Amino acid sequence: MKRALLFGCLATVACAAHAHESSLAYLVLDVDGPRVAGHWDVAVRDLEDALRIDANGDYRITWGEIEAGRPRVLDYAHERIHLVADGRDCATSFANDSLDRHGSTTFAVVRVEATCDRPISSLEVDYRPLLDVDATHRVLLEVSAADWTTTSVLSSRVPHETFAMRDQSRLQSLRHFIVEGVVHIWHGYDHLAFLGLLLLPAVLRRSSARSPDRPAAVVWRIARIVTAFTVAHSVTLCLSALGFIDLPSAPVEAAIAASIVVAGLLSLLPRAAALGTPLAFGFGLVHGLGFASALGGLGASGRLVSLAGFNIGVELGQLAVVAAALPFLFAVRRIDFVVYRRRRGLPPSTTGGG
Amino acid sequence: MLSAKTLVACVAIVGNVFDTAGAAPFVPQSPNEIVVELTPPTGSEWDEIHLLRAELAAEPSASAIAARLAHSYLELFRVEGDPRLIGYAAAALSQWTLDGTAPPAVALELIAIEQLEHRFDTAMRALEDFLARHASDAQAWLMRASISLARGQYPESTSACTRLVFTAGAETAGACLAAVQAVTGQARQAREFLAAAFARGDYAADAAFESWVRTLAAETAVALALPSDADVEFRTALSAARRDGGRPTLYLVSAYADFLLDSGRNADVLTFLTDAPPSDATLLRAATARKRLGLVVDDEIRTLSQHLELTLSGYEQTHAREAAYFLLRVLDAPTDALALAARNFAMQREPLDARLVLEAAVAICDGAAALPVLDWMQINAVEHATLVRLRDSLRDCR
Repeated sequence: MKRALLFGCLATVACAAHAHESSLAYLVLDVDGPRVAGHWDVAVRDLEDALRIDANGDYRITWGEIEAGRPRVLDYAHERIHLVADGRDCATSFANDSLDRHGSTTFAVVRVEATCDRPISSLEVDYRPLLDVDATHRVLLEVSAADWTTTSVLSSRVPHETFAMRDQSRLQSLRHFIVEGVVHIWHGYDHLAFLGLLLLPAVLRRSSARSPDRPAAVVWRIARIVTAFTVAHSVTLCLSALGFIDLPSAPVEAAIAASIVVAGLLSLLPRAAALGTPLAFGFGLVHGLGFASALGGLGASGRLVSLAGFNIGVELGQLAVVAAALPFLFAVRRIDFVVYRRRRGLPPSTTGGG
Repeated sequence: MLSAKTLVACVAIVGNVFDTAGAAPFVPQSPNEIVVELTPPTGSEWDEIHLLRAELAAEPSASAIAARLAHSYLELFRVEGDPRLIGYAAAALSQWTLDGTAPPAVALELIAIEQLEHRFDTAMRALEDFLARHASDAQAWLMRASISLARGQYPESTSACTRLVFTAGAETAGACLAAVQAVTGQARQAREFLAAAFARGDYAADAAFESWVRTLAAETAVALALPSDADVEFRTALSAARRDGGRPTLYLVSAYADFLLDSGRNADVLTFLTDAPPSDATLLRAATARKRLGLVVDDEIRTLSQHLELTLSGYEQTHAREAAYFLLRVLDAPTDALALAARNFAMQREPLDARLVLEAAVAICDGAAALPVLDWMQINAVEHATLVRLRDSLRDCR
């Protein structure tokens, strides 16, 4: 067998370059705020050593065999590579769809993505693949963030290392969370639709049957609704982010969904339209709980900076959307909806309310 | 770390590891595409390994089986040079440590792993510990002699060899002492001793041991500038190794390839190595020969750069000798080679280690960097012909 292989080698010039290499993997991680993205390049031969992916045992590993072994490879990565940010495990996912070559060795490229609780100030990489089959296995690790990169080698002797991110200033952290807040609000179009739903009655409401309300009055009403909503969800966001309220996410999500239905129905009732501000406050309380789960459990010791930043971001994003929607809202204001016209039926106590 | 110039040269051919990582991931065209061909683990050595592995799986705490399995892996490593074999051996022994609690057979294999991984201090401490409890263990004394010899601690090596007289017999002790003599100004005596021993038919009983002693005789002849005698001894060593279905160690194969390179027989190097197991050591010699023959060595450079990456980028010292050889003879980067060779020489001091320092120093006429080697030569009266010639060419470079 061996001899046949060697004769095979004689035929190709490049054969000499296929020397045995030690077991070396590459782990490249890029840290961005609370997220880590990168890839783990592990030699196909190492996967064979650890997981026996050469299913038919012919010592020729095909792409099909790698694809078939993929679930086991990803489970293996999941079990043995851990990213820990500031003492807490990051939710890490692995995916493989390609190969790569270093030197003359073929590697499986395993994409790594992790989401940690908050912007990472120190990242611990705990690396255990293969150490039980080949105790000399090592990984060449590259960790980088915005403007710096560092490299290291992990082995059975030193299977983990902690990397301190370059000091992130409070301002940077605040800025990061403001951006997170804005992004969150812009991605949450359900939330924006809900806000629109709250604003619509305020815009359509008419004090007199003949003409729409004065713009100043409408803007004032919008401002009150947005503020009430904001204050309310800031309150619940803070309470739950700081650990004073701890509700499972399923009922919270259900409550949010229910609130959208309720708001939709209420928008058809002009009487309720008059209750805009208190309603917005009530709904805001529910929605704030939802934001808290988006921000991730900061724990009771969570940072006020990040909380404040996220809140500011949410509000800025919200205000930007409302500002952009103002022309539309003013245009809609001219439409005379029947349900919003009948003002006289309302009890006097609610007419002044916004 | 490498100089900018070498890095540029290296990167031009190889590409930065992290840039190439992820720069060119690819998806094979079809599920049937073969992406990796493995060397089938077949042959008598592997048969035994498979057997022992199955036995160990059935009885995971059986230290004797684990030790034999590790021993088989390490024996195979000495022949094939696949560094993963050391890792497999270490993994087979992972439940024991060198803290004095491991059974003797396991402890010796753990020490052998330390030695092969060039953790000489740990290996020596463990050996001292081991010999305090098992003073009559010949294997341990032989390891102690050979580590001391590799580190250039000749008195320690000599005293360990002397202990072999009582534990392993005069033949073994004699060969051990000859190995020390060969590098410490007594090569002629070593040669005479070996010639007499061969004439008596000593060492003929054990093919592997005979091969080792014949290799020593060949190296002694090289040191004495007797190339035709060396050639004969090398060939005898090779055929002794192949007797009884065995294979020569990679050490012997590399030494003979180096000898052929020194004799300007570059084409012979390539012919000789086509039969050798693929390893960094043989690839280095083949690349050197190809380069000297004016052939392209890009593939070899690409492969060796990746294999020696951790050493070239300063993360480890284990393969400093190979890395220095690579920089000096394949990449033509004597400045970087000199730095690495000097660091390697601080760790191990066999003639080749000294030679790499001197050759690199001569290439850039830097006598100061070679001082540790020159001192070593003077203190130990080293008379190795090649080293003496290189020292002489350095004379004007101080």
